[in-house]
Amino acid sequence: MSITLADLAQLLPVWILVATGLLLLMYEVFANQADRSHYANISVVGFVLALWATYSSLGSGTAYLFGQGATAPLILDGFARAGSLLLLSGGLIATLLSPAYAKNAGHDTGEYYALIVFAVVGMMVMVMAGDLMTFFLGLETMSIAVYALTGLRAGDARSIEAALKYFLMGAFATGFLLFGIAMVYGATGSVALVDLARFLSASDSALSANPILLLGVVLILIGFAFKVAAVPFHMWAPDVYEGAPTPVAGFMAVGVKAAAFLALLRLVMVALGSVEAAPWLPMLRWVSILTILGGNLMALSQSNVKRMLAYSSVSHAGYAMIGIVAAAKGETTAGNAVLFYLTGYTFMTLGAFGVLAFLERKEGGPESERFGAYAGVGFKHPAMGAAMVLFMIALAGMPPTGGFFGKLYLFSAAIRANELPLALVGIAGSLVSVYYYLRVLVHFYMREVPEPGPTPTATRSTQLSLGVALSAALILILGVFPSQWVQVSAKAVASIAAATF
Amino acid sequence: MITPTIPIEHYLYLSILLFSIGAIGVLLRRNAIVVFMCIELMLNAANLALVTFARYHGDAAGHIYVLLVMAVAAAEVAVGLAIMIQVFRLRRTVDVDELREMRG
Repeated sequence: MSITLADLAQLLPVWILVATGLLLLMYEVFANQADRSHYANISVVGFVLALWATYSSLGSGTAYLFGQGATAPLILDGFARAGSLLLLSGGLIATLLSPAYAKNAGHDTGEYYALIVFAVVGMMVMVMAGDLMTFFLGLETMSIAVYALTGLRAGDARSIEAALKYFLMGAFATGFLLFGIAMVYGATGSVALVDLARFLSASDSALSANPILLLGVVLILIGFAFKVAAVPFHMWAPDVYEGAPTPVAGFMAVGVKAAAFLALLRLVMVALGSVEAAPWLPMLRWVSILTILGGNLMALSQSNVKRMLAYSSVSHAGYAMIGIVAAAKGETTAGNAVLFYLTGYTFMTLGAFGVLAFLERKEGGPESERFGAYAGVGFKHPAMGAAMVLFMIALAGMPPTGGFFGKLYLFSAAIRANELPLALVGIAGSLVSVYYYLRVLVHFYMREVPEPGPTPTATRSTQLSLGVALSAALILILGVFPSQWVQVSAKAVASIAAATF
Repeated sequence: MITPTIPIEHYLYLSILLFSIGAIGVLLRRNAIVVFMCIELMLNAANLALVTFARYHGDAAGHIYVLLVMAVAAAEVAVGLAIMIQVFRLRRTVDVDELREMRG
């Protein structure tokens, strides 16, 4: 391993973020207490600069950092760059949604924004990782920051309970993942993804003769399933999303999930896809089916909107898993479909959580998050109501939004990979989901405002409105002009395929 | 002269045993601190496996991974214990079954 200046310069977006995070922490210490409103602005500038740096390097070729060839620990290819764009936009929007909410909840501090920035650094490392150990480091950088973010409303029993549950389940998942990595290392003598690929494709009998390798891969996949909250490893998700500060819940639902799925996609496309009739294929298939059915059915019976969105994000993990199964069978369009789907999912989910953050009352509490508490708010706040209509339509997978094309690409990739039952389960799940997404809109527009009852009093904030508007615009653009991003992501996914061997 | 060596399988069985004790402990114990100790046991089982395989393959990288894992585990302890202290301040207990603010 050699560290050269040229390699370090390639990581410019990461350095920008690290500098932003450190600046935020120093600003917290030295700035005068009246200047709190600047935290979010500093963080936004950092994200925009990092986005610009990533975007301007989008066309350049694959760079192998700190190592020789494809076994390098960090691989900066088109996929890593496109994934970073997605994760950075998620971080940017989550930051925009935060200041008004954080001021109400009393955690408007520099470390809040710094933790979001550091979590995004970890996510970017995850999508660049060329070996399992680097991936593990990125995952932990992200996870530890998000554990702390979940518990930031320290005086609130629900927030701190959510933090403890998320921490224990997350650390448990880490244990599985790490033991799996150790087993793979033992079986192949290396943690690099390409070495695993070489080992797997070397001989067909390698797997059956090698229980250690099989155990390792299965444990790694279980670790992933925990992180993306796939059934049956989802039990922590609803409590954690309900208890976490609303913008943080949005950030967790999109950032953590997108980063884990992108890393899983790389693992599957580089290494696991090279095995015919692999023993983990049925496992992935069943996890996908259970996640779609379980997430949607449990979302139906929720009375708390945040919990409903939590189960909805569980079901979306199931849809994305369909794409992973197709990619594991070698279907070339599946990777592209997953990346496109995650992009749409990021904007629609963050937007929905943004509207909830806008409507959340200062005193908070579970009562203010019930469906009934949103009666008539669509008329009281027309712009936010219209945005919520768009996000719910997108989540249900209806045109003219990015959610529709995301599902279309995923299901057609599944059919091309001879996974018709999976596509049918996905379509059935989407149909069920229409009910609970439209239920939100029914309360927004078709219920009388209780007189003189308490309606959510909105927290006005330009940053929050900007964040919601940005999500709404992007999800609409993805739905009306999908082809641009499809081309970018197709090129990105092709760069993984080209880099193998 | 033959130096007696312990075969690699023994280290592996020990590591798998430690991992299983940890995983079962997480599922059965109710005190958050004990649950967390069980998780640490799982991580250390992985460390033992990494060191064993590093020695078996004659590859120094495996030893370095163990150091990385230890650093990560220390960071995790820092955040985890802070969360548990907050929970105890608020609820006077760290029993995971007592924490049931949210249901449904």
